[in-house]
Amino acid sequence: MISRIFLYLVSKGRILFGVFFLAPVLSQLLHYFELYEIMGIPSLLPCLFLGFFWGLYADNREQWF
Amino acid sequence: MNLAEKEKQIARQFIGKTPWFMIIWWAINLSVWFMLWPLTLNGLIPLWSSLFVASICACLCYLPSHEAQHGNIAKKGSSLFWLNELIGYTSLIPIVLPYRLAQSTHMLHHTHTNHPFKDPDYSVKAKSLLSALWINLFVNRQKNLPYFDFLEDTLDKKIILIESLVTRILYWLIMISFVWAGYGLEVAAIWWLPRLLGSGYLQMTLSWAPHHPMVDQGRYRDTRSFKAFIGTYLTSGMEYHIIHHLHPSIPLHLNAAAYRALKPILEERNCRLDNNL
Repeated sequence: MISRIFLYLVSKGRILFGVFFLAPVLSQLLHYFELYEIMGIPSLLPCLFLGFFWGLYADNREQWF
Repeated sequence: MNLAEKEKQIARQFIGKTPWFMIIWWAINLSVWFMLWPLTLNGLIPLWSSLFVASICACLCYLPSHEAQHGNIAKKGSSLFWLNELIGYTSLIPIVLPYRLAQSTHMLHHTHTNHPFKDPDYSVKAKSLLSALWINLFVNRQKNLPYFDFLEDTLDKKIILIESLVTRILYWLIMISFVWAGYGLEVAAIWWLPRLLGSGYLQMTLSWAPHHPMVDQGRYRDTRSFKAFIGTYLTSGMEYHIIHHLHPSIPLHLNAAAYRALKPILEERNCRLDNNL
């Protein structure tokens, strides 16, 4: 059971990468350039949105670009 | 004395000495990389300098481990074998490459150099320098290259798989912990981007350039000597990689001297040699 869950998570690695790594790094990059909000929304939220869908795209296409 | 015996006799002059140069290389490179962590996380050095230094460390980290993979630092059974393994494992930390996986696939690369289905490094093949830069710095960095498929189904493969899995999980746990603690840019500059750059550089200099165009097979044809326009240092001495394939026990820093000593024999063997070297 645990190994099946683990293998499933590994197979979705690009989505997890997009949400748990790429999104917060992008958000912190925006903060570095003093962009704390995008259209009144805290920058992390759109970054999470972007990270998830970019990860989903990469998962389907097996490449990021 | 025949040609093979002459070659062995010359090669033996460069084999067997402890490669202190590579040990010092490992110690300095890894220390610098580890020092970047407190310096960067505490804001003592700018992010761009962390990225620059960490990228150099990532480019330089493989070769001490490469010596260890061939047992050139200390042979199995010797009192210093622990140092060989320590260097083998730890020098690869900046590029998160599991040592046993690197060693197994590297030995297969030596056995089957340039074979389209048996050489684990065949994925670096490209027609030109520009194409190689694109493939190795961009295309291959987005893929999980199928290194495990090259290994035979043995107990060793299971151990290598577990070791690789633990390495990968630990890496991402550390990265994600730091990112969510607010140090995303710092870990990206120290470990994530340099790892990608370093892996690409290593595939270009160690795998693509010395074997290009990856058509010939056989001991004296599968690897070439070449004069690189960026020079010997920036190619990490890979201009003389043909010596490594012929005599892997000769440590990297002696490859150039061994090349000069062996050149007449290599010419007689019809090796692929660059006249400018």
